[in-house]
Amino acid sequence: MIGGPRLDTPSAVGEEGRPRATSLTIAALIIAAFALTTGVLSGDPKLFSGIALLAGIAVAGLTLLDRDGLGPTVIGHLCFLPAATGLIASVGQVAVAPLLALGVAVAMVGVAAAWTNVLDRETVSAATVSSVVSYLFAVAGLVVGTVVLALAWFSWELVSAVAGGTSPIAATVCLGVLGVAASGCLYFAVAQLPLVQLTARSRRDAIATRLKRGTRALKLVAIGSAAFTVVVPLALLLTPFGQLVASPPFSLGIRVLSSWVVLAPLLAVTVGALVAGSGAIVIRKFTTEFNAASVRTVGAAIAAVGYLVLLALFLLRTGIFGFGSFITVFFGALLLPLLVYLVLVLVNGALTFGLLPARAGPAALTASGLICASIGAAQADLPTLLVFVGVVSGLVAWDVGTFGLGLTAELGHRPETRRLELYHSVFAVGVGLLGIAAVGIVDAARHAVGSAIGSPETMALAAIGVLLLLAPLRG
Amino acid sequence: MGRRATRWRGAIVAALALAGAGIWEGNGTLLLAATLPLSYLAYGVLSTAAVPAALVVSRAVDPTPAPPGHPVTVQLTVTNSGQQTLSDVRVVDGVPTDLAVLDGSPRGGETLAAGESVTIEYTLIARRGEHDFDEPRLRVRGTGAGEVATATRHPEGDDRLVCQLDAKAPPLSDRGTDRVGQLTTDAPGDGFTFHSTREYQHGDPAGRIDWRGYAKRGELSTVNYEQWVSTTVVFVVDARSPARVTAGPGRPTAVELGAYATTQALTSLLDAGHEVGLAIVGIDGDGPAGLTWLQPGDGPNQRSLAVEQLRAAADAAESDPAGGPADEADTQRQFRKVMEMAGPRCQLVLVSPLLDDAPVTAMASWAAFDCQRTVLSTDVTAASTVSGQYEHVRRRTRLARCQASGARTIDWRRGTPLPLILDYAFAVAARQPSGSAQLGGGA
Repeated sequence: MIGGPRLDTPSAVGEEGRPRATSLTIAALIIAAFALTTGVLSGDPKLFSGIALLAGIAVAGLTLLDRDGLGPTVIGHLCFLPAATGLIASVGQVAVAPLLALGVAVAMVGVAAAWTNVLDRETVSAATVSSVVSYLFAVAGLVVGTVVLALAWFSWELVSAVAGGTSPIAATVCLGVLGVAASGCLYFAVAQLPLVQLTARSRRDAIATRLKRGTRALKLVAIGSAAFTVVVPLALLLTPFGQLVASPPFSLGIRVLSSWVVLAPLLAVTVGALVAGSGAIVIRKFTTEFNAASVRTVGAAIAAVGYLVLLALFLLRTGIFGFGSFITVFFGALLLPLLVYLVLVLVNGALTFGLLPARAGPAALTASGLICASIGAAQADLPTLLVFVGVVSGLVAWDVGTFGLGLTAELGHRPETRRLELYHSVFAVGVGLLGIAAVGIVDAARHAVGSAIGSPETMALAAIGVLLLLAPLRG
Repeated sequence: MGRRATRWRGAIVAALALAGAGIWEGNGTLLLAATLPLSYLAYGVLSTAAVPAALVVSRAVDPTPAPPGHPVTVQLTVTNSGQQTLSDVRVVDGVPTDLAVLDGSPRGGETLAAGESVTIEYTLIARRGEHDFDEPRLRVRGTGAGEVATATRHPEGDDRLVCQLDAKAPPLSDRGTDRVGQLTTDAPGDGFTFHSTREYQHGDPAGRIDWRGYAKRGELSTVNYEQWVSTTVVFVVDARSPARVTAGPGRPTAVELGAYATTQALTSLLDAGHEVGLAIVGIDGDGPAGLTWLQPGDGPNQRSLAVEQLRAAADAAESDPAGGPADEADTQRQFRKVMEMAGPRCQLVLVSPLLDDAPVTAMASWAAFDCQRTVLSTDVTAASTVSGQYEHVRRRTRLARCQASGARTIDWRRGTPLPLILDYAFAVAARQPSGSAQLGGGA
């Protein structure tokens, strides 16, 4: 499949099938137009392009996390958490009123979620759990990786210091420790690698016997090396034998024992055996008991590795090292994802308690985002008409969005209903244009009069009066 | 009057939010904007809906009667014969509960101007029986979709799908010929297809003289035609519990499909003048070894008896899908008994989905009698699941084993019209090297 898994397969769009394309296209166009207009009026037409991209990728990731396959799950993780984290970071970075940026981001997430039809309680909660697992894997991987790297660095420095030296005690201790490590790691690798299973059936008994003998020998070598590490340095320290080996020609032997010619093969065997044994465990774990739960766990683990790679690439790209890198990792990679999960938990709660309607959740999110953006636009002193257009956009997005989702729920996704949706949308937009014209005239009159009639206090009284009169209708 | 749809409660929340923000900020623009949601609220409230009497519904079912497993096209048309435009008309047809929709959707929606109509088309898979459609449900919304009215309408046209085993088989009395036997042999004789010429003998009919050859060479010769003889064909229908399965919900069982295939084939053979017998394995019959047995014979009455027994088998398979405990020894005894009853000169046609090895064993045992054998296998395996594909591979392997035992195999896959399969199979048979009697026309 070119370009990764598709989103529009039936399993990706919920029980009711693919949502109505016409209605959602209209809603998406409205949001795009509003974002573009706001950008133009703010002096940067590309103001929300980054937010749009991140919102799309984040929702695509959320959708893919609902799949059962390993590939889609991994790609879903790699799309969702980085993009959602970036989206939250971007909202605070856009050079407009925060409420405006937040509103546009929420609206974009809402319309994208409507396209993929995934904003329901089960999907969001499953995605949250799955993503938290991958995040914890990544954090654990970061900690373990740091410890392993520190140990490797320390060992390397130690061996480098001993190599080529003339101290008999240091040379024997280093040789003994490496012997214990090499034999131990070889024993571990032999125990983990499926050597018998990979052998031809006719020779399995012979190989098993030989392996048993080999592991016994490795145990003896490990014990011998441990004894060598303790006894020989003590002997060199406490007996005159130490002075003897420090002088030629015995010192030449000590120099050979501490040379790279001896140490490098031991080191290579140790590292190689460790990698082979660990690899065997990982492969076995990932390939046995392959069911839906293990796919999710394995997908989360692979994604965690992906996060670390992405983080390393980000640090390399931005050239942030040292303390700056620590700050970036701590706040960017560790704390911001927690904010993403907080948002997911809030959305899940809203869906559970009915604050977001079950089927029309995406439409509600879109509409509330645009209303929020309108309030932000008013705060930013953007043109009055833009505020009115924003409010109407939210209402039209709600109207056509719920209409389209209702159509899908009632008729399924197969019947052709483009004309039906367009007819409904034309009326919804028409009512909005009439409303904008009416309040535009009132606003113009208010500014023209410039007296107490048009003051916020009197307007507030008028608005409250209208609300009280119309509230009994309740929609 | 319809039911009010509560679509605009969110508008009140939006109005309150905008008004609250306006008051908090002291911003008149936001306060004015708070009235915009109320305009949509009013728009929804003012919207009314009713299902007008001018909405006319008609339904066409084609074909009816249909044979089992045959796709049936249903067209439901809703026409706005009134003078007003209906902004939102949705319709759901009342599909019989026993039938599955194969393609399309029984639902649809459209904006209907005066005189316009919307047609929804979908395909059902026929199952044996008479299936009544429920009345289609109509739902109309006002322009603002604020009110919903629902009603059912009795449609004009078809309201029932009839599915019969002999749905596409014409009565014998309509098409039957008086020719005795339509099985080609190597022996020359009377017939229609040219075979060879020989020297004229006194007494040869004048109609068989090769007059063209006489004009060229001046010698009289007589034309020989491929001789037509009749044969006896016994259909063996597998109605055991392994065959009582379907390819999916709402689809006919393999027994039902086999009964339909047998009905088609035996009708054609009877039409061509052959004798046809019937044995049904797997249901408690009153014949030998528990078989349902119909002695080979010909004529319309034979077909009626056979169809009646096939119906009974399909009924038994449908009423007891699990079937009784399968006894391999009993099954093989029944298959052997078929051979004994039919005799060595007849041809055997086994109709089975081949979902177990018993029919393959039976074909192998019949090979000992050196009679011509054919397997007509109905495909009821599902290709969309791993287990279905596994069963499909096993079934194909069994077909290959039947072929290896010397039997002719006919794989009737879903979606392929049975007459086409039978025509193709017998056309292949006609092209096979001579040496044994082969089926001629009619099949």
